[in-house]
Amino acid sequence: MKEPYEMKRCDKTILKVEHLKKYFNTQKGTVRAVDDISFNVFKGETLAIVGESGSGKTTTANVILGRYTATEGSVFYKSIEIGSISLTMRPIWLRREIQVVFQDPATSLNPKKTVKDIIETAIKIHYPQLNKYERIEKMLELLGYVGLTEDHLFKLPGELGGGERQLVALARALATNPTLLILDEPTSSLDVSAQSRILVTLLNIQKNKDLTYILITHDLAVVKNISHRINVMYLGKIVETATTYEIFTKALHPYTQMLLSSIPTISEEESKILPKRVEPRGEVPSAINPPSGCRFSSRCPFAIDICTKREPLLEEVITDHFVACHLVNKNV
Amino acid sequence: MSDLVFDANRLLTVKNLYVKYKSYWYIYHVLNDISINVGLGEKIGIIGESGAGKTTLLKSILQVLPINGKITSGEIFYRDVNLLKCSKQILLEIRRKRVGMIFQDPLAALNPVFTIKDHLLEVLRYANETANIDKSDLINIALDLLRDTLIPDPERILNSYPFQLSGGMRQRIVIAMALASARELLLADEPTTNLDVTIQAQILKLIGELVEKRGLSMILISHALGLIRKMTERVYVMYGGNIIEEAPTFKLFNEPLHPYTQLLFKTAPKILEPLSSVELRGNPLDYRNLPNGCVFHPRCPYGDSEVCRKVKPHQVKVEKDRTVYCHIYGS
Repeated sequence: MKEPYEMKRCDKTILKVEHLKKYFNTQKGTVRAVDDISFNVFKGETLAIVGESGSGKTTTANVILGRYTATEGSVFYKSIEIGSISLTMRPIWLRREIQVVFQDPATSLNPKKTVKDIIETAIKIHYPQLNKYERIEKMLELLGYVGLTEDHLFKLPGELGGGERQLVALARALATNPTLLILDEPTSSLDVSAQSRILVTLLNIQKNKDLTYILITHDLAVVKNISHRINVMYLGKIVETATTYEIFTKALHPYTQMLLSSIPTISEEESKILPKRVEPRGEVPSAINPPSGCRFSSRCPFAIDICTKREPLLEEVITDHFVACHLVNKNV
Repeated sequence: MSDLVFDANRLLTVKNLYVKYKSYWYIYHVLNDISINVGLGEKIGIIGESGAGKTTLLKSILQVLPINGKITSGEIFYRDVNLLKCSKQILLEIRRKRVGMIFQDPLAALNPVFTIKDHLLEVLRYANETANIDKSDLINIALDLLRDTLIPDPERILNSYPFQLSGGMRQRIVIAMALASARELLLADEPTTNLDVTIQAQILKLIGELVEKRGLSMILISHALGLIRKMTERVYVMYGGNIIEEAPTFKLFNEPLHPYTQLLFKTAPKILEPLSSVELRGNPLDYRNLPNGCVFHPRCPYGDSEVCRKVKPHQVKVEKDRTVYCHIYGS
């Protein structure tokens, strides 16, 4: 396995999420999509948020992006509170600095516009002082970053393969020189062969431009390869936070173990290193009426009395390894 | 079924199959000279990127190709019946009573204006056509199917609509529908692509158990390599509408032979190894005019030789149970 990532405490915290809550009111009741989560993102790192669908990963990202405003709690970006500012009210420098790459490039790129149009729009809005030739120059530079060439400029998204389309989406996000890039399942709609190209490109760009990534995914093999730290979310709560190395070597929360043991492995050695003791079962319960006490108690094979009565708190078990589970916290 | 004469060990044989799609201007040569066979009780996997022709192959077996698709030559034998030449009646009987298919997107496979009961009963009615069963019995069979697929509270589910169910639940319904008609062969077209990892693991376990319990043969299509490794006994690798390698699953995963398969395994994100920067060079295939010689040669790291560019590789038997279509192993 890779060398453990040493968390650099001295690193500047670029994003700080504090007691963030996001509720949606529906006819059936209040959906608690994100319920009181706190975490930090350090400059230059990749923080992965993993969990099943419905665990609140994308909602968290959307609050950071400003597509939703927080119900309660706050998001600090470089010590400015941004959680309560909606996208249209955000100053342009802020929008420039936080960018996003969406899951499915087939739907996030306009099929009637060429690659040039798609990238140029972002440059026109954020750098209006550039003239036509400077814009072209910048576009070629961007395409160079992501490993495309000028041949791609006048193509429509439909003429490109899935991997190349995602690279165009990435180039568009990079057009504004962001510092924080949110990657919302960047590889899950792609073929195996295209996935590694995207991931390698992402790693290289991070190295060259000192970007910070928040990676949202449920593919743990991808997480293992590019992220430094992992937040595991379940039903709107963070249940475990640790470095990638720690999660893959000694995952403590039963839910994390369940996620790990459900990875389909492609070789015998891989299956050996994954915990096999938690058989996946059940589905994510509704976020309108989450189970009382620990939210995972309804699916947890080790649940005891206290689990359904009291909600476990996220506590530091080992240095930089936080877990919210009665079973683990009791043993400490 | 008196017209069918049974052969003991082989369930399905596809021989030299060619399929073309026609659009307004162009002809797309989607399947070229495909030959596969499925034994009784055998679990077959087909790997390949999207656009390799995997789904088209399954659709041609059942002959449910889109209207612009046409099988131009080849033979498909189900036991001893040539599906391309047999009467409509026999084809329907095979579709209704012997072969079931799980489609990729469960939401698209279910009709939003009908309840789960309507869906299941329709399949069951045809599957038990001659058996003279009345409706209440059919409902009981439907409930049994839902219980088999581990659906909690089947009575309630039976009266709900597809949009009221979660993704995992919908996929279970689609599996139940496929099992209603699959008495011999189950065709599964990426059954877990749209699902979460934990649900995926559960669904796969379920399919595996049901196939085992009912003694079905299975063809499983996927581009997730880990899944194929877990579920199948023998694998075909497809690229550009051609089969390029065939091997028992464990041998293929230990040592892939064809350069394409090797690249595919190298590029898959792994847990133990760091990412490799190896990538397929060149452009995706253009099915309107496929390259001469080996279809993979423009993207193959060893594909610059004369013979790769001009001659279509023949079947090379590397071992008794392993074949590869590549000139490297020819000499």
